[in-house]
Amino acid sequence: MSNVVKFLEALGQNPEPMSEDAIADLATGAELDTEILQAIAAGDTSAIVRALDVTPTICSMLFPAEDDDNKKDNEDGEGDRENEERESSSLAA
Amino acid sequence: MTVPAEKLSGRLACVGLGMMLGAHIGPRARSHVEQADVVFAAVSDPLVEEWLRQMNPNVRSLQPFYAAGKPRHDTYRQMVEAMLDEVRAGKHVCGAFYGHPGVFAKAPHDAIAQARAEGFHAHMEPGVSAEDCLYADLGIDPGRTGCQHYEASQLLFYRRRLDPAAWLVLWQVGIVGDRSYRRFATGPAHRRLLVERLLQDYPGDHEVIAYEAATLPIARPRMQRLRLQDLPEVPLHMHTTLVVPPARAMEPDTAMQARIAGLERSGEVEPPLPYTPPLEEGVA
Repeated sequence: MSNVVKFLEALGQNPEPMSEDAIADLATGAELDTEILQAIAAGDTSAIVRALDVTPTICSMLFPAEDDDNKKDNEDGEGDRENEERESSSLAA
Repeated sequence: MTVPAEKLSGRLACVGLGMMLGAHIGPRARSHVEQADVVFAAVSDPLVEEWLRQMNPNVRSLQPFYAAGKPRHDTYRQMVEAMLDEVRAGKHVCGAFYGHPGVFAKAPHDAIAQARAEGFHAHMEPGVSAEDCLYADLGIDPGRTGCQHYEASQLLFYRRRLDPAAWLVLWQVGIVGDRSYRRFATGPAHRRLLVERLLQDYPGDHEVIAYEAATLPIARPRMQRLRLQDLPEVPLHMHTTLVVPPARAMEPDTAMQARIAGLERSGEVEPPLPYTPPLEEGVA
């Protein structure tokens, strides 16, 4: 595990543009498992996660489109409008 | 409530790790991670959590606060409370967030505001955001025509004015239209509503880009070009961003330009300094 992360960190810090073959060569020198080497050569990040048996991240969202308060205010407003419509239609009836 | 002096030694730093493992973290953010008593992590890739654990052995993932069907507003509140509990206990706490901790991220802003309200020192350390990567990968300079950013659902929930002469960037498009805040994705039906909204300002065959920043150095960013009208059928993820290029040229404001010219002629403003270009070598 630590070898893979150290390898990826070193690769991330390397500003040189590298071909997939060059990355695969570098990975071979990092003493990584065959399965990981294959995943790195294929650029398959999901396969690395599977091979390392780490818990896959389930969510990366950190932002709601509305604050809770705004949402409630909107819904209250909608409720008011619906009530008004109901009242006016009952008056019309 | 008065906080005992020894407890006020607690402090909070919310830091950005950047988008790509190893590539983007700044020295100040790294110092916060390394020196914290406890690090809370909200990252985009499980390998990034492992990377953090190599910098600090006491990393607690914020992922368990998410759950299928659970309102995300509750999730974000619990993230804030988890960090604040440790600050109140006198710890040096680091919230480590992927990208920039203050861009499309509610919990870091709320946690810092709450910590300061309770008398603790709290600080945000910026990071390289998906927006920054987007400009670099797609070769966009937002200064050229301007650039509008919206959370995608806000285009559906609210009446917003778009300027089709500027770039438009829509975030969290993979979950557009979800008002339950309990889903991790929405599908073609919600996206058709988004397309319907965008068709008020853009033609259906306008080229748009589905963008995803690379989070590992072995990966490439996704930069899929497609027609706006085809958006409902294209796979989109939580981290997909929709980039809409300008659909028309900027319209000159001739009246305002004339007023500026009038100002220059009026003598009310200082004229620019005179400048004589140097003669080129060998040119008389």
